Amino acid sequence: MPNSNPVKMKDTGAYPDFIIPKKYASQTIFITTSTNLAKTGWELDLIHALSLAGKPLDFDPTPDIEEAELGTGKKLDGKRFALASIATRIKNGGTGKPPNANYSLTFATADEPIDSEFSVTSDETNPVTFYTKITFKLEK
Amino acid sequence: MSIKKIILPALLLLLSYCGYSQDQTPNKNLDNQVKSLQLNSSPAYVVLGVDPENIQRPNSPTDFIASVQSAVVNDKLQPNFAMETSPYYWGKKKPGSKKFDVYDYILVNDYWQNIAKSITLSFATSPSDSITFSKIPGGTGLGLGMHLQLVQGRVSPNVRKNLQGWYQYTRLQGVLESMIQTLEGANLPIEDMDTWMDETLSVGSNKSISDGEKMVIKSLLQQKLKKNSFTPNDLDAIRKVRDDVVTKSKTAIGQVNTYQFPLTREGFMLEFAVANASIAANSNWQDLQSAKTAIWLTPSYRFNINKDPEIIDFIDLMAVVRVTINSKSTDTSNYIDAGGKLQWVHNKLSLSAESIFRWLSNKPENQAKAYTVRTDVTISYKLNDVVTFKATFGSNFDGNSTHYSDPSKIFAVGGFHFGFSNFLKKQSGSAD
Repeated sequence: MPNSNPVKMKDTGAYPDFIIPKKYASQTIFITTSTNLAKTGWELDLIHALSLAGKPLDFDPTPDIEEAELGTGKKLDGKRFALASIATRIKNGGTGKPPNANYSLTFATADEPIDSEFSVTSDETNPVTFYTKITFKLEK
Repeated sequence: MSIKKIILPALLLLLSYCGYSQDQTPNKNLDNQVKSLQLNSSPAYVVLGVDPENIQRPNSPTDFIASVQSAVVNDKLQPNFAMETSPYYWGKKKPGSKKFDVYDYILVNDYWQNIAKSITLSFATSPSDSITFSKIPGGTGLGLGMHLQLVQGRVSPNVRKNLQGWYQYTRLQGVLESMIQTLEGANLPIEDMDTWMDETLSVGSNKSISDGEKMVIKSLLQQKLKKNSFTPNDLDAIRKVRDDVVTKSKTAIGQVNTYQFPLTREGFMLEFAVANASIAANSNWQDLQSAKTAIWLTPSYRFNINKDPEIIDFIDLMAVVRVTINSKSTDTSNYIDAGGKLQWVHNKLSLSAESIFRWLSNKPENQAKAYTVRTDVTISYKLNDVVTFKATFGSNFDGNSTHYSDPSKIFAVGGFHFGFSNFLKKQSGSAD
């Protein structure tokens, strides 16, 4: 059964289970985000706070996160994963309110995604923070 | 192989390469709004003598742009082609067109890096003018130029202050989110905040924060949290501080976004340019010969006069000082130009008037005056992000020193200008 979308626009402080199919037990899992604005005339500033089991993780921001390594499915089992992505829109010729920010997150091995691509579209809140807080569980 | 066979494919290759490779550059839409016009006064056009406007306020460096315009050459309206590109951005890793490095744009004051970014190469072709280049058989002119910004102006103090505030609060929020994650994720205490901060600020998005800004963030955090060790019991208090920081961040960026173009640069700017015009007689590129080389400075000052932040209202004062060295086949005299321009930009409309005096270094005996003058008025209106209408009316320098008695011939140039760069960006953006 696929996992429900873990990306939220509020920090609930809860870490619901996120099931990793057992076939990925020995495969390395990576995380990738993608953030885009719905309108031109606005600049996007994007930063992330990423951690696994409470330890901040390193990655090279582009400024999205591209294939940051998390570990094998077995190693991730039982660990809490947290990501806060803060997106700010700066007006540069655009009009009206800040455009929606389209944010998506994918957990994948080197070969394939382990689940759906999870997407959220923000409202005009600026900056907006996208929260992903889960506890990895390896399927038994 | 003829030069034409080399140059034209090279230009096309550069056009397609640059159009797709420079998406990571800061996207200054106000500059893009007038850039399709600006190209008409690129150094390569100016030195060929087919520039509708002789003086232009320096543009922000960055983009690739190409344009086709029309100008009166040999009493006929003829098409000209020009393009500009900034080598600094060639081959840079492409992080995406909509991701903006505000710190780099607003807060980095590395003078030499900013100069390197501003270096822009300029290319143009036009039918050669039979009066200006009277001793060279008619053909095609090739203009090659370069310009760079010695002084680049700054965003307005109010915007700068709010952007700096927003920057510090969002980065502080990032650190607080990490703190919350640490306390939630391992259910363990942070025993020494200084050590934890040093580790956290050295990874991920925090790597791009300068040492100076990290010090500010540390100081802000210490002020707000007032202690050096934390346990999960402190989470509610930390979340409250985080929420307060988010509110301040929203207020600061909200202030910035009340302006239509908060990122535009105002105040004093100074641009240096150099360009050479060569003529291929009878359009035979194997006979390409240098006709003139010019070097000039363009100081300018922009006054932001808008009372309503949502309305674009600028007045630009500009000047130019230019020395043109002619080959003997072009003119027996060299030129010294000096002039000024007044421009008003109001939303999509721009009106300007300019006047430039040209002095001869070696006045021919049959000429009464050692100077001539160019005067023109330009109106432009941006129809959309890609297309701008522009019309210029006035009198131009009349050929070379043998025609200086009669600078009164009126010219009128009008047309639509296409900002190919914006178009390519739109295509790229829609494919995201």
